[in-house]
Amino acid sequence: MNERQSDFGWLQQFARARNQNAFREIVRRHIDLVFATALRKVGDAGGAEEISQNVFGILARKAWQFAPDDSLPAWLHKTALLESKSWLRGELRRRRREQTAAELGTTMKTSDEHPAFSPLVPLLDEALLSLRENDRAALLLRYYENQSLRNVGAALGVNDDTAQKRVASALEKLSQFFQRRGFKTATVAATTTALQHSATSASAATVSVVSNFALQAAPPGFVGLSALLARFASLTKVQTAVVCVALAAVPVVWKWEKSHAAAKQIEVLKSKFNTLQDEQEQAAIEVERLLSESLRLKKRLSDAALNRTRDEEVRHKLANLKASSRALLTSENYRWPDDLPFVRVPKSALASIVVAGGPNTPERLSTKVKQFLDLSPSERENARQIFSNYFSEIDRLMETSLYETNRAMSFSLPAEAESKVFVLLPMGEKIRAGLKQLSVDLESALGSDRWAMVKPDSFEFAHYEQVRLLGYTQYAWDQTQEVAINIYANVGGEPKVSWMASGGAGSSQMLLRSFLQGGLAKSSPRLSIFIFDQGPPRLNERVEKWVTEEAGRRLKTPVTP
Amino acid sequence: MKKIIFALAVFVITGIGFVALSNVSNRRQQQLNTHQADWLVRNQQLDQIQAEHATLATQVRDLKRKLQRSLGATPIDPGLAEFLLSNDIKLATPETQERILANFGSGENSSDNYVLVSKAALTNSVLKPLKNFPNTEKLTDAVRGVLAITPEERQSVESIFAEAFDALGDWAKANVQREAESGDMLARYTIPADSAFAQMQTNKLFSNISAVIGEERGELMRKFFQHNRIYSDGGIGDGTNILSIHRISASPGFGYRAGRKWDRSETINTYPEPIKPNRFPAAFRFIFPGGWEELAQREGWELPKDFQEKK
Repeated sequence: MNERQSDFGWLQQFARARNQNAFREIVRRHIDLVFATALRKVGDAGGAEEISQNVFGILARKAWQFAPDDSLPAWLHKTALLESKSWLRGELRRRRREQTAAELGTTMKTSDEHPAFSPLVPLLDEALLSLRENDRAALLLRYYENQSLRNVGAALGVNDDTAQKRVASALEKLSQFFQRRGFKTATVAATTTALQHSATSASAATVSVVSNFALQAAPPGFVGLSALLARFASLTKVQTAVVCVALAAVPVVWKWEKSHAAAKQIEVLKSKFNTLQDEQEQAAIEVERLLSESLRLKKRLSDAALNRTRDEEVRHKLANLKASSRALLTSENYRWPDDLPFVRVPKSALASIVVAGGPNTPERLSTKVKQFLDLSPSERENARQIFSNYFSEIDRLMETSLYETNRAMSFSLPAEAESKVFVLLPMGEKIRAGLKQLSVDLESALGSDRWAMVKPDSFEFAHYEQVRLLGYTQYAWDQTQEVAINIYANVGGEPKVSWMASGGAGSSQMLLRSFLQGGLAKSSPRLSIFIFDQGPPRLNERVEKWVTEEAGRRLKTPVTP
Repeated sequence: MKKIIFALAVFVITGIGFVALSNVSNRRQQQLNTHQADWLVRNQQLDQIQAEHATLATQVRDLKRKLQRSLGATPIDPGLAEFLLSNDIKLATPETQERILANFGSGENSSDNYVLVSKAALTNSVLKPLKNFPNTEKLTDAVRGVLAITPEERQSVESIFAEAFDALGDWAKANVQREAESGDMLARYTIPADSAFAQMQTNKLFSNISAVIGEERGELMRKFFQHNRIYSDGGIGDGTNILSIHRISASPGFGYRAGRKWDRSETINTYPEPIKPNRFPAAFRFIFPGGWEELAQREGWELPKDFQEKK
């Protein structure tokens, strides 16, 4: 390896820096190999020297082409053979012109002092060429350059043992080559001997002459493309591959970068496009909304214009109506206005007026206050709130005064029936108190003058309100009222029902199914056939609801009458 | 040589790769160009839309301003406006009448002595139209004021009432029945029902009145009268009027049961109430204009000397 590296190193120095010493060193190392090879071929020392000059001249010109893994001995051997052939052809032509071919043959005949290996010698170079380059190099180094096995191994990049094995193997192959050519005596030993005896050392003068000739034949230093090529040629295979790939990769990478950049740009554009599309959609929706709003506003504006015209007309009409209506209030010669929906009423007559043709109750009073007093909106709202409070209070009173039990205080319940007793506590006093409060609140809200115009007779007021709330049995207003509903299971027959009330009123037994939802009582007021007509409405409602539910619960399915 | 072949091989392979990549790159470039073109178009479209948006936004803002100015005035109740534009004011429903009055504004519908009221409110109300006995044909101040009865109209209307009551009195006198004493009941007077006669009389009465004061007020007067009739003529003819006199222990020693009977019901007090000078059943005024005193005189009963003082 060192040898090889060394050869390559010297060649590099020579190829790059025109280092003549480096080239001389190469010549010194390998002159014997080249000279011996040439001598074997041409059999003439002068010719061998000339061939050696040519070979090293070629080396000097092609030094830049060598790579670290090229075997220089193998190349020199091969080149020496080629040059030898060339020389022989030239020599032959020359001698033909000068002498006969026979003389030439005598001149070229090799010595036959060693008859055992001498037949092998002429074919030795051909045999060497048949070997693989490493095997050939091994033999050339070992026998023609007389290198130790260590140096051979180093030159081939293997250890000593391997070098030895390779040399042996190469000798074996060489021997086999000869045997295939019919040289039965071409043993390994004979072959080795042939190699040893065919090696010749060139003289120091030859070395000098060859070096000088080669150096003169070498081209000047490499520059520009030549230098680049020299540089390239001096690369190992791996380096060459790296360089080629690197060189080739540049445009590929450039294209790839370009393509990648385009792809990235496409992605960016796509993203932008999507964003743009979203924006556009949003904007379109917004435009749609604005368009719709614009249309709506235009329509509203148009409507408003129409309405304005219409409103002006209406305002005009209202103004006229108001003027003519208000004129009624001040007219000294007032006549019933046939053409107007309004009349003037003397405030003095208001007290005589009864709303809805019935007796005064808070409900009717509420209507009278609203329709017959010229209240401001706030006064109207105030009055409404006062009445609302009163009615809420009465509703609450009714709820809290009515309860259910299964025991009656004012009469005995039938033992054979299941009874439910509805009890209404005395309410007259509370109702009268509520009415008094209502009157006080209204007087406060309306003022004494206006209150006097609508104020009902207090006795009538209380009387009819109690009638409305508690029925016509005025004697019961201040007494507890009880209504019992008795349900008779009537085994074997249909369940029946009867009622009993305070004061001894009551009914006979009736079929319970009559009170089913949608039953007999549907077409007529249920209470008119069942409980007292004049009972408190709230009590009647409660009783009626309970009986209906009870009928539904007990009879499950309606019984067909 | 090997290196050159190797290098060539590498260059060929990379050349193929380069060409393929070139194709891809070109395709991508084309795509990029297409996308750029699309993007530009979209951009232009967006610009257009945004410009349109800006225009519309301005337009909407202007329209809103205009609308706000346009709606500046307090809007009139659309229903009311619709009615006022397309209907005769006299056809206003009770609710519409109230809305119009409210529209006039608070404090605008009254003066010191009067208040403006919708005719609908009046139609839904009643008041006593005639004075008490002995002036039962005379109109009350309230009805004269409310119905705007002029002095001339008043005279005519009161004459019509007087005539009608005279006719009713004649009919009552002609048809009244008397039952003799039985137990504690001293006598029982019955003016029988004759609804056809009563209806005819009422129709005639208000036909005449309407002729004087017009249909509208005539109807109101009729409603007021019907509601208060029990105080005027006792509802003669509509139902059977009954008056029975009983001897009672309480002062003044005489009691009465009075009321009316219809086919299915009656409103007669269950127990005799003591007679009082100013509480005499109106229907029987036509028979006994002098009230209890005249009745007692005709029957030959003697009322306590202080009877008139117990009013």
